[in-house]
Amino acid sequence: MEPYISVKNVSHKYPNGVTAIKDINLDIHEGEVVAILGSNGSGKTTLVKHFNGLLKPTKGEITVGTMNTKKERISKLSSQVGYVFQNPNHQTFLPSVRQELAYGCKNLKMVDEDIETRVQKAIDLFQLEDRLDDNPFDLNSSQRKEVAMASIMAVSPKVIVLDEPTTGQDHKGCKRVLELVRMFKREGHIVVLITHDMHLIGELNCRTVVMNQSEKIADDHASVVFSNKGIMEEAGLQPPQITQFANQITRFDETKTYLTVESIIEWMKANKEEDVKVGTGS
Amino acid sequence: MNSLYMPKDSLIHSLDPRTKMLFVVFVVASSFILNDPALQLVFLVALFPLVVMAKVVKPYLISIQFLLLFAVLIMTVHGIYNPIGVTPVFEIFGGLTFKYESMVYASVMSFRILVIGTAAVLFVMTTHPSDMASALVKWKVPHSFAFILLSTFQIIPIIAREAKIVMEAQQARCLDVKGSLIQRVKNLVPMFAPLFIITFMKVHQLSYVLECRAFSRKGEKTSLRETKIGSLDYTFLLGMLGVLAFEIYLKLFMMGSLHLTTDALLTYSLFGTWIVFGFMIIKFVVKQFQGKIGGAN
Amino acid sequence: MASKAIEVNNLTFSYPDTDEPVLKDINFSINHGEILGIIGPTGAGKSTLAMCVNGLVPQVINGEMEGTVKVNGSEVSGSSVAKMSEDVGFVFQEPENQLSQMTIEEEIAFGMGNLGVPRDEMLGRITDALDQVGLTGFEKRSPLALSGGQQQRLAIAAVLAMRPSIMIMDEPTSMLDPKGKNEVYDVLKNLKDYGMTGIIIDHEVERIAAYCDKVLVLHEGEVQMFAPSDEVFTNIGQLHELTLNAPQVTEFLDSYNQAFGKDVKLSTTLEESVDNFESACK
Ligand SMILES: Nc1ncnc2c1ncn2[C@@H]1O[C@H](COP(=O)(O)OP(=O)(O)OP(=O)(O)O)[C@@H](O)[C@H]1O
Ligand SMILES: Nc1ncnc2c1ncn2[C@@H]1O[C@H](COP(=O)(O)OP(=O)(O)O)[C@@H](O)[C@H]1O
Ligand SMILES: [Mg+2]
Ligand SMILES: [Mg+2]
Repeated sequence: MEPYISVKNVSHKYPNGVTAIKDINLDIHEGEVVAILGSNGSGKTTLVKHFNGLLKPTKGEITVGTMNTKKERISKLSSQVGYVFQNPNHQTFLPSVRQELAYGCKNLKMVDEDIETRVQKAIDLFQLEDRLDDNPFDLNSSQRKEVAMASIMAVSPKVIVLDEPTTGQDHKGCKRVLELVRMFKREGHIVVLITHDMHLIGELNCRTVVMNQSEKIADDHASVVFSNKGIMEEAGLQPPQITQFANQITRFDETKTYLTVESIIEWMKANKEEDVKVGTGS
Repeated sequence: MNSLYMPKDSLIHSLDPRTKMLFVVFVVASSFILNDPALQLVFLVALFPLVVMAKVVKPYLISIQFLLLFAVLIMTVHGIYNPIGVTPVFEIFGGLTFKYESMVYASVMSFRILVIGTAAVLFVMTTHPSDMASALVKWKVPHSFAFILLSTFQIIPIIAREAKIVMEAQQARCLDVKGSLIQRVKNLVPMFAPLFIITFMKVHQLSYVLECRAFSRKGEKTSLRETKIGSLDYTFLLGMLGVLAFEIYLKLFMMGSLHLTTDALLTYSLFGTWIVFGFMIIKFVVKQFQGKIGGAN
Repeated sequence: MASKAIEVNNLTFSYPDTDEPVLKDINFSINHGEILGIIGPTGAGKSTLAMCVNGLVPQVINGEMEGTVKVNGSEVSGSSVAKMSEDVGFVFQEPENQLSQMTIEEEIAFGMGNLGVPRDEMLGRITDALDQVGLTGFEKRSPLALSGGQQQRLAIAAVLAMRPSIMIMDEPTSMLDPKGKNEVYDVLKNLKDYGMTGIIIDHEVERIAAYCDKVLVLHEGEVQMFAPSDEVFTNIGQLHELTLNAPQVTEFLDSYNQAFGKDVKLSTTLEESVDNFESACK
């Protein structure tokens, strides 16, 4: 299958001379959830800003669908690649949630019925019925973030890019982000997600790309990446605490990498009578 | 371009900020003493080597463009319509006559803008904002005033960066920033509404941060950057005094016998500003056009 | 010395535009050399409480305050925020709003300069502070040309260089990679070894459990728990009621006990949990 996003030998050098990404190759297919991990300054944000053309490669090429990002306008690319900015204040400015939701579609000059159905879909997905007439500035910060996200989703882009969506969120907020990512996946979107939250990756158990010093050093399933000590060390990463815990328990299956509390409990339930005495594989 | 200040290694940069402030005062004074278009033009040209010395020619030319816009307007409108004019010099489009006295008046005014603008740009581009503030404090200017000045300069790159982020964020919402003129005017709202709010919040937050970094604490302050008045500053100051003395001499004793300002000079400087202005417009149009066909960027 | 490092008595505070107080009758105290972790959902009043400790609330950020806050035995209301900053360092929540200077070294020097630190000493402290947060070599860069996590590191370094005896950090690790998060907590621990006191607000319960002596749980402006950290984090029932979570290992041991009717002793750190679990299953 043709990849939807195809990154070919891409490098980016900022005007101040910093090369933030070097010779990156990456294919992302329909329906995938891809997490991008890596230490601070490793080039994650720089990489994903290329997907909707906010940055243009200084070397190499990126194709999104049939569009070459170098030749296409940001506004056009953005109808296919939704990019949620970290601070909703950069984005929201209209007096009501409803207008915020319709704004992107209006910019794309869609016909009214079309706008109506898309906005309605976003309202349903994000459960915003009760807030439609609220001013986004009267909402609290996590609600405002969600409205910003909903208004990006309202144009129903194929891809949604989330740069550190759980930053500054409390436990409830993190759970909500997890829920939303799963929903985007269910709805058939490609999700590209940057995060430093290892629990989130553990829960998603998705494809994981690791960046280090401007280069891609790993691209595999989360459980594989998390059990690769060399890569984890090199990129300054740490698996979720529960994974570190499970690795030290002698009677757990050594061939498995446990990423969540629930998965261990499930496994133990499945191996009922053995759970107190012997593990498998060790 | 991140800020108005251009960190470069030059003689002008290494001058003490106070010397440069005196320089600005000197230029302002001179532009009033020399209220003759020809002399001002000479003065303007004489300032240019300083710009070259400071290694800021390109950014200087970019910023001076905007002042030139004023100059064109003033020279054209005043040259034709200012009622003090009596002696016609030349005529365009049939009825519109440029008159000598009005042109002198307009030229003096626009050259003055350019001269003072040059000095100001030179000062801002070569003086680190914190140096400026600490120099002022050494002059016993109240700390809070120095701070207001400092923060004004510091806020510029911050606003510029926020503006860029807001623009990106709006484009990410499918806003086409390369549209027609009407479209662009419409785009001002999604650009400026968030920018205004963000800047307001930022300035607020920043003021709390500065408090927690002991900003308004009483007592001795130190700086990572050292400013000292050295022999270079004295040389520069002496030079300024010399020129000032010469200007006053010219003004008092020579004005009667000196006739540098002629019809030709006035006409040429008027045409000159028009031509430069024309180039600016052509450049702008070409850029627009490229944007239209290129699509990207 | 008899006096506590920080002592808060009957503190109630309301912002001018809120009807209900955001802090309600808060009482707690910490000794010199202790580290306090503050947790709670978004909007609980954590930041407001922290700002009361250095006098920013209500001296600069206005509102109605009752009760007393004492630092090193003297009332905070008795001196200005700038004066307080000699003793109390404060790292704010959003890194990008804390940067005002043109280069990284000037950013760090700014606070020191206001305290009158001689230039020669500044240079040494800059090197130290950058080393502590892992930004060595970035001295001449503009703070605006840094990644989010790098900006957060810089904001911490700028306060560290002022060498306060009490350090307050409001969600200082939200944008840091796992290694960077550990580094920040290590810095806190180092400060503790020098007898300094720290307050850290964070959602990183696992690290708080491992590093903090005491934990204060805030919910809708009220102190729900204030106790040594193991005591707080083993009280999982109450944490869940407050929409909070315990470290993953604690959550696991609790789920395990419930699922299999066991009684393994709950623990809040990785090593201890491994020991407890292994020995319980022998
Ligand atoms: N606007 C900019 N101008 C110049 N250099 C930049 C700019 N933004 C980032 N950089 C540099 O490029 C490199 C990569 O930055 P990037 O923002 O992509 O990192 P990141 O992986 O997203 O980090 P973080 O986890 O901290 O968000 C860093 O060295 C950073 O200092
Ligand atoms: N400057 C302010 N003016 C008015 N209300 C505020 C201000 N800052 C915070 N609040 C309100 O006070 C409450 C507590 O906020 P905060 O202390 O920031 O909580 P936390 O840090 O726990 O998320 C919130 O409801 C918030 O909306
Ligand atoms: Mg980033
Ligand atoms: Mg807070």
